Amino acid sequence: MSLTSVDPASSEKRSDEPLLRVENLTKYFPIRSGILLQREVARVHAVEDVSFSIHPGETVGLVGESGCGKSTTARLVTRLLDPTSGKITFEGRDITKTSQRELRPVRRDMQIIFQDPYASLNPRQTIGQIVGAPFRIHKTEGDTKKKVQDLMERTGLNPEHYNRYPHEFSGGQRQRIGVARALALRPKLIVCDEPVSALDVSIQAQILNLLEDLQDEFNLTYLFISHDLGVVRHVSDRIAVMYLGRVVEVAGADELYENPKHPYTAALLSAVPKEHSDTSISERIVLQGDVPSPVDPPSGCSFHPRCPKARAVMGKSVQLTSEQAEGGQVSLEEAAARTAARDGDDRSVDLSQEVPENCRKEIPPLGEVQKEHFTACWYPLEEGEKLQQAAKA
Amino acid sequence: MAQVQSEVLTEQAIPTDPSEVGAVVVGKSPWQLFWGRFRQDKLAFVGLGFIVFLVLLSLGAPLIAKYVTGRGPNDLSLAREMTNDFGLPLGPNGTYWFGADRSGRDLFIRVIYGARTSLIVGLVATAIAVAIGVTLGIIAGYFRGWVDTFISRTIDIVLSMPLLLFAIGIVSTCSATRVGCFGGLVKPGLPVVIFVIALFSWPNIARIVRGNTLSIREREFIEASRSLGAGNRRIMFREVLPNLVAPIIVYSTLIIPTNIIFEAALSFLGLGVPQTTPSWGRMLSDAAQVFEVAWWMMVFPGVFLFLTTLAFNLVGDGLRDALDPRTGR
Repeated sequence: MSLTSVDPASSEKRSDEPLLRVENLTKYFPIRSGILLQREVARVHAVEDVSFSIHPGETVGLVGESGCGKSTTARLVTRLLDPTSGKITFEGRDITKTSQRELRPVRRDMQIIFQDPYASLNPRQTIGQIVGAPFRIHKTEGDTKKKVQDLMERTGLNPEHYNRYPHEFSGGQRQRIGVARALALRPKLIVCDEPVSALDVSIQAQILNLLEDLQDEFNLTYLFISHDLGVVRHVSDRIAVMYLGRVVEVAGADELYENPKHPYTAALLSAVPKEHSDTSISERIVLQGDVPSPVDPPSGCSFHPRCPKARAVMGKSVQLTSEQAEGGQVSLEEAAARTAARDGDDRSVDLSQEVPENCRKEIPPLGEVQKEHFTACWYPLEEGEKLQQAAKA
Repeated sequence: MAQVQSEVLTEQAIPTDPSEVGAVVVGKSPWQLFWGRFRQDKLAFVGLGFIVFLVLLSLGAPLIAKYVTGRGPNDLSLAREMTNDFGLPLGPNGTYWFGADRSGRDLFIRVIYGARTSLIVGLVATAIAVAIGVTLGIIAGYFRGWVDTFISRTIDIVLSMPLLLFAIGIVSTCSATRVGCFGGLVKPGLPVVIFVIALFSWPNIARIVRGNTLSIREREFIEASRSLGAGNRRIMFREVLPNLVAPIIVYSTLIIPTNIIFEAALSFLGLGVPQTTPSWGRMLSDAAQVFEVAWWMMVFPGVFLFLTTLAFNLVGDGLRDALDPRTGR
């Protein structure tokens, strides 16, 4: 198996049939209680009804706050976790229910790069053993050591460090080891689960460039997960935004940044520090409260308790944001009191005055509002619409 | 004390490490790295030296008996050579280095033959206990669920059994006939002693291994290995097991001396190995009755038992420091 040769069959299929298709993917984690008989008392709705597809050669970014289900999605796609429901199709083959044993050949084509370069390498194995593991597991023929050293060279590591242990390397070098391992069997799809989040900014750029170079060289397809909006925009062709386990918006990278349709996306983009952002949104949109618990997600649109647009639709201004806009500071006690009032028993009563009924009752579908631009919102933003102004109106 | 000492030595070892790593062009093998670190620990080296000395002594025991002293472990002294006029044994002298016991047997020869018994029982019983404990511990910690419940409760049951009472019971039962017990699987004599000791020492290892496995299986590199398509067996023994080396070594070296003492205790109680096989425990038991007139009968086997226990503990500490690659950070 040569690393440089590009499979002609896969490049022909490009852009026609998706390499990976995910439909209505859902994952609940049960919360159990009880001493002897463990009873399921609640469920964490980690990933809910997520659909997207990735075409060969493209990079799809997946962004969202911590705990929105990005990493769970990565683990579902790679079948490290078993989905509760939904369908995962890889290269036209349904792998949702495939057993781990039968998945083995599929794993050659689908790899994952992990977030923490310190935790994702076995501290008791040498680099040679770590990078050589894919060859041993899949019993490939040929000189494993030579292949491993070739991989190390390609990923910018010194092949002479073959016998060293991970603790002898820096974070950036370790992530290169992780990349080399993922690349070993020359997969078609690499799921990058926050591959640069644990690294220094200068090292981040190196790893991102390495990933881009490797993509060109080996015709790789990436599912790139990150909470860093700058990084995602830099690497992605298309971006999916997740909130509380659901995909709320999908669009081309530049389209999404310049013309966000979902109020959450707009708020998220406005939180990027100005130096790194050239988006049309200049004012920061401060959302009320915290992300609701995924154990008991809100009814209807899960963003509705915090949505400034929904309030604007009802003609109610959002006090918090307007005060912020005037430069006034809200004291911590006041903010806490507001959050408590909203999260309290009279939550629905309170919100019925502020939020339209369809936002509260019905889950918005991921609809195409423009060409190649999908959003799950009953009241998507107009092009150039300033959310801050909408809130004040 | 040994631990404090080894920490001091480890600190001394640190300055030499980066230069070693930086200077080499060709990667060092894991064995070289381990040996480089182990050499720094002088106490462990002394301990290892004593163990090697003891092993050589016990291996060479028949040769020493034949050519140096000319007496076997069960040869009685002739013509009252080693007993005084009252029939009491004589203390150490030029011919009988460690003196004689009540039957006039050469205590030196009996002590080095006793080392054989102690080492065989200590090492074999520990090896069996570690093999059982590690296997069951990894399985319990890795698969969790009902497998874990079953194994953990078994551990609890074994640990809750009154150790000495059961040991005495099993040894007596198995020694009742020549066939032994469990369908002839466990023969009387040394095998039954090893069996009993292994039976009661695996649960500790299994518990420690299970606990460590539980934490290691959640680490990301296990997930990485699974994403590469590795099967359960590979993950358990290639990914998890190497991370258990340090605790396994530490607890093995802790139970080797414990098991040696266990054997001595059984022999002291008159169970253990047969009368004709020299054992430190039985020697101590014999000595207890005549300690006031024959101190050497207790001191020599006692000192050997103590030094052996200490040596294994020192080596265990040194191995732990050397095998942990993070020491060099």
